[in-house]
Amino acid sequence: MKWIASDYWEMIKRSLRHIRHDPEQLTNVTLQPVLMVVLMKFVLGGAISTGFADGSYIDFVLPGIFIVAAAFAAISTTTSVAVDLQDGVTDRFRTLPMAKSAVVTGHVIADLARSLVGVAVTAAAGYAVGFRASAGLGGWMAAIAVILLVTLALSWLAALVGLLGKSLEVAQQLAAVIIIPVFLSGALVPAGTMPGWLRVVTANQPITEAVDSLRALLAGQPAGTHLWLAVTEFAAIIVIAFTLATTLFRRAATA
Amino acid sequence: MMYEEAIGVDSITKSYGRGALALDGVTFQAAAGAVTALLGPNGAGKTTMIRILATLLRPDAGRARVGGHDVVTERARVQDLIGLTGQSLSVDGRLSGPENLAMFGRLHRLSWPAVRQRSGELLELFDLKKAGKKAVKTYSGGMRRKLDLAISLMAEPRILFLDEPTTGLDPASRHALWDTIRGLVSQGTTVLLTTQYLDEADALAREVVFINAGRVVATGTPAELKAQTGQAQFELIAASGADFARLTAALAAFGHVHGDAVSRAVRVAVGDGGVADLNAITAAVAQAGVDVERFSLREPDLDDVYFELTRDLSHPAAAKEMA
Repeated sequence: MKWIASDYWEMIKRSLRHIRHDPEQLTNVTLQPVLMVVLMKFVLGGAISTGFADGSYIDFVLPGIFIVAAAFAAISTTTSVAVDLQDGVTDRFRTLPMAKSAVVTGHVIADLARSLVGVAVTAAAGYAVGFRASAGLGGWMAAIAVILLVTLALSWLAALVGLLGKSLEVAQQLAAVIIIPVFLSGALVPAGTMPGWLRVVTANQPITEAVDSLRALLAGQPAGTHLWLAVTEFAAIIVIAFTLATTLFRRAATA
Repeated sequence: MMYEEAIGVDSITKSYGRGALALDGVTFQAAAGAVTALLGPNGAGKTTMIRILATLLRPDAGRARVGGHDVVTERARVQDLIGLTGQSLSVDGRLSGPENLAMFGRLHRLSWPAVRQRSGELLELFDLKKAGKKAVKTYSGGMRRKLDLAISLMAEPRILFLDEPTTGLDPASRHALWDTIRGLVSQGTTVLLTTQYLDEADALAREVVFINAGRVVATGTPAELKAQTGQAQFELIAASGADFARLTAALAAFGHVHGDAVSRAVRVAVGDGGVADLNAITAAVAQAGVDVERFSLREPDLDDVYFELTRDLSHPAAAKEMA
């Protein structure tokens, strides 16, 4: 048991060191939220915000941008996992008496670090253009916990995509699948403005629950059922994706 | 076999998909505390064999034991004993050398003090200290290969698999690696290596297992293998076309002469290529009054072994002989 924990710790350190030796990995999670904030505030925001009280659209949309940033951070796991499968280093992991599931887990956990960078950049960019949260420290902590939970779930899905792709290129293209539900949700616009058939999906899917939780938490209000639904649904996604991904990796490792 | 057995392979068969058999009933043993070489041309099945023994592939049929443990049913026990340096480099290019050593040491379940001591020793031994904290992807090919081997040695494996360890190395690094392998073996490590080079097998191996097209076609010591497959040959290059004709006639007395009129080279196998044979040849050449431009002794090489051992009906030369 002690050694399994050590295997996981070594693999987490490995993936974090990859970020240190390859800091370009962070350009994605730093540039993308800034671009989103500029886009939603100045480019699209003018047209979209007509339905909102003056200046309040940024308060509505920033929680959504947090989740978009989490999704973009998560899909880098697809690349990390797919690169590993093509690399000789995986051969050595396979010949070691180690917990094989730790290899994929390391990449997923390192993603949380990337996501935290994304959270910080998004918050800073949001504040710069007028976003204000009335939440206290507790509300922010709860909000960050929700973002990390979403990152973790999407990152395990991204790992799954990385293991299913037949090549690095195919896997990276498939990873776009993970971004789609983020846009087909109430993240950037109220689900209520969509046609009924679409609203059935967007209003009830886990991403919308997570974004609604964030909105409530950052506004300093109780998040209520949104929060419990989001936590339960994303926890379920984590359990399923973790089980599938570790099984797939172990199978790939014993071909 | 008179030695303690470290690796026992019994009728291993492996195919990839519906394709031809990569291994077709391979059986051999490797002695503990010695180097055994799997020798053969590209595509012979050497790497497949190593990957099965290193628990990376499951055989379709047959059994293999490494250190007394079955490679399929006792994978974890086998993994405790082995180190592997494969053809595709098994190092993490996005970590530094010391980070690679520490990570794999910990994954091998070494204590932290053991990891620090062992990685210090290996960085010293392989002259890798100067690279410091640079990522391995910036290393030269030779340095990467040395690090790869160093990682394989972290846990002081009892049995070491080396898949074409010197391919792509310059001659100095190649000889340095040979010395390292000899040093490991003198401390009791068992080494199974694959190579395409007879001189490498000759320099390192106690036993050679020659594999071709998925089958073992010969086993023995390097000397036995060479004796089976070809003798040392004298090669003389005549100074002119007329000299070539007289030289061919003069040497015919020694046995089968192989002459090539274009290069004016005449080859003949005489005894074991010793001093007495050398004297006999030079005497014959002097007596015939032939002008010889160059004179050399040619040892049998992998080409000779290869053509001798892979002779079958599909080989044009062999087909002609059978006709």
